[in-house]
Amino acid sequence: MPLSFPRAATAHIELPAALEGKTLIEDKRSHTVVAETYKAKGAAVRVAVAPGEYRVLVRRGTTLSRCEVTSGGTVELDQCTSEALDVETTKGGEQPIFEHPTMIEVSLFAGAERHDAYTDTLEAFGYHEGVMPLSAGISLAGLRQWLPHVWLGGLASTESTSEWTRATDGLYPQRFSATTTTVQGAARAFTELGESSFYTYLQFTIGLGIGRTQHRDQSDMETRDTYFGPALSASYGVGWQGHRLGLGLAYTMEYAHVIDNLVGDTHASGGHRFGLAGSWSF
Amino acid sequence: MRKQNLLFLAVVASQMGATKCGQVLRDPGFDLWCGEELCAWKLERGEVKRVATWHESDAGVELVGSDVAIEQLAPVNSGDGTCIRFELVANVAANAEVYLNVDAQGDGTLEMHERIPTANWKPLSYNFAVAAPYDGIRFEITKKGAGTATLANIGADIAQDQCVDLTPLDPGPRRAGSQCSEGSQCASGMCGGSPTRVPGDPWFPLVCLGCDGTTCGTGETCGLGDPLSPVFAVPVECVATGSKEVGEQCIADAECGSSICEANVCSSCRLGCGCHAAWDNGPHVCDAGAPGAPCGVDGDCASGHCNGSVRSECEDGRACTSPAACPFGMGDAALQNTACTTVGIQGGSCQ
Repeated sequence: MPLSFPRAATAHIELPAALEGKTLIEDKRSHTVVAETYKAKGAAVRVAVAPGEYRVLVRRGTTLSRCEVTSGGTVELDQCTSEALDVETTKGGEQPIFEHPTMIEVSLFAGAERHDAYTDTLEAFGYHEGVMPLSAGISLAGLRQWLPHVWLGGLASTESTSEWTRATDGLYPQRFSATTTTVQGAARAFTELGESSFYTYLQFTIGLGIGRTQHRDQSDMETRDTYFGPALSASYGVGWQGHRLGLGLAYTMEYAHVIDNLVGDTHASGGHRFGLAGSWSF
Repeated sequence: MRKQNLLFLAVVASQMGATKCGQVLRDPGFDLWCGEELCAWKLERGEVKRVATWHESDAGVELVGSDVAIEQLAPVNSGDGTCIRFELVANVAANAEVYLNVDAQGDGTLEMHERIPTANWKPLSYNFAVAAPYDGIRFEITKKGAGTATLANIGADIAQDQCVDLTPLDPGPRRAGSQCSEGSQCASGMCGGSPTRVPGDPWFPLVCLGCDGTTCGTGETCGLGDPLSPVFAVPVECVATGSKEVGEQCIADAECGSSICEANVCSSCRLGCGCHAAWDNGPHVCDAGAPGAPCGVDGDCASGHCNGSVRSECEDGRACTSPAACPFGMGDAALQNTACTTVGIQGGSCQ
């Protein structure tokens, strides 16, 4: 079995008394870290190394200093180059949480439909929402990293209200339901939760809402109508990001002022929504 | 056996109400249109038009013109409750006078006359109490003036405990055939058992009587008069002696021209051999009648032909010309009149 031995540490590098911080000594020729320590301020420290040329990296707070030194020498702090660290773009101290700049995200969400003058009119005309009425839908978002903490993109969603019914003395009850589709621009800002793979985010969207209503009368005759209007939303979410796959939970306040009736009311579709999201980055 | 009886009573009791699960009016949404007219509401005068409300497929009724009235007789009675909540959605212009009229007992006397205010598709609600006993309420909506008035989702239901401190509407002296608990409630001062079925109540309660054995004049007999309303029992009142034809309802032989009242129908013979009912609960006539013999249907005659005027009856045997004259159904059909069916010939004679 062949054996190899490290080079003998016959030289040294001196870390001066004023140096403070997490310190790495890298062999410039082999690009290997030969020593790592935390240097406290107050006394000089000598680190034994093999003869050669070295680079000393000192991290203190959000500053990283690079110092070139030859074995047997002392790190001269005033000759080091320094740069600021952006700690929020790192994971585990070094890796960014989002390794890829583009994300596709699919969300499923549900929540109670907003009540307003439009729904008051429905109730006045004898319509009732079902037991446990929920609106539910799906959205697809495409986002691209624009700034380290900001992603921009677009979002398309569609959701259906629960059915409103009114008993009749005809063959069928009167039934009314609506579907709201939106196409919106989206902006998302996130912040990491410590050095974990979890993060929180805020997202705002604004765009076009398309409301489609379906009404069936006592003879089961169907009438469909389509309406247009502005749509916007605000979300707060928590996510986990893996290498490419991401998962998230979000609360969203939706507002799409789109569905009109003949007595002058416009229903602002939406309301409080709770969703589950899955994403893929590339 | 006792359990079966209790179950039977429970089933009967559940069907007793003259409402549809507390709902008093039929077709509250104005959904049912028979051509250009409402199926469940009767147009008294003027013109109505089907119009869109909040949605083009959810119809309301527009009262067209300057003098319009629609009405519906509801079979609700004091057994269902005495507090009624009436609701509607109204779009009434300032230059239209729209009134809600309430006619307890449906006798033409209005006990409540309330103006429906100017509104732009606003829900309105009225609570009122009716003094018991009562049988039926006629709801009437009238409009005067050139302004538009459109109504939708008119409903009325039993509103328990929501009429506290409201003065009950007094239907006044009850007519013969309406329910009563004491004579003072009746125009005649007489309250007694009904010889015929009382609509909406299977227990043969007391009804106002128009006569007894002592109150009719010469040439008259205390018998069954013409039905006044589908919510009343056929009234007991003085009728001309011998005035009824074979096939008409009766309670005394003297009412009938044949002098035979068999099973509450004027007949030509008593039940027995050679004497049969012409139809279910119909007159009894002799088998294979000779020419000129009384008959109810063609099969009663040897010739196969029974001549006379057609008789139509409700399920309880009262004469009718349309379902509107017949008592209301039960259960899901509680707000609908029962059928008026052609049963045979009244006062027929064999060819």
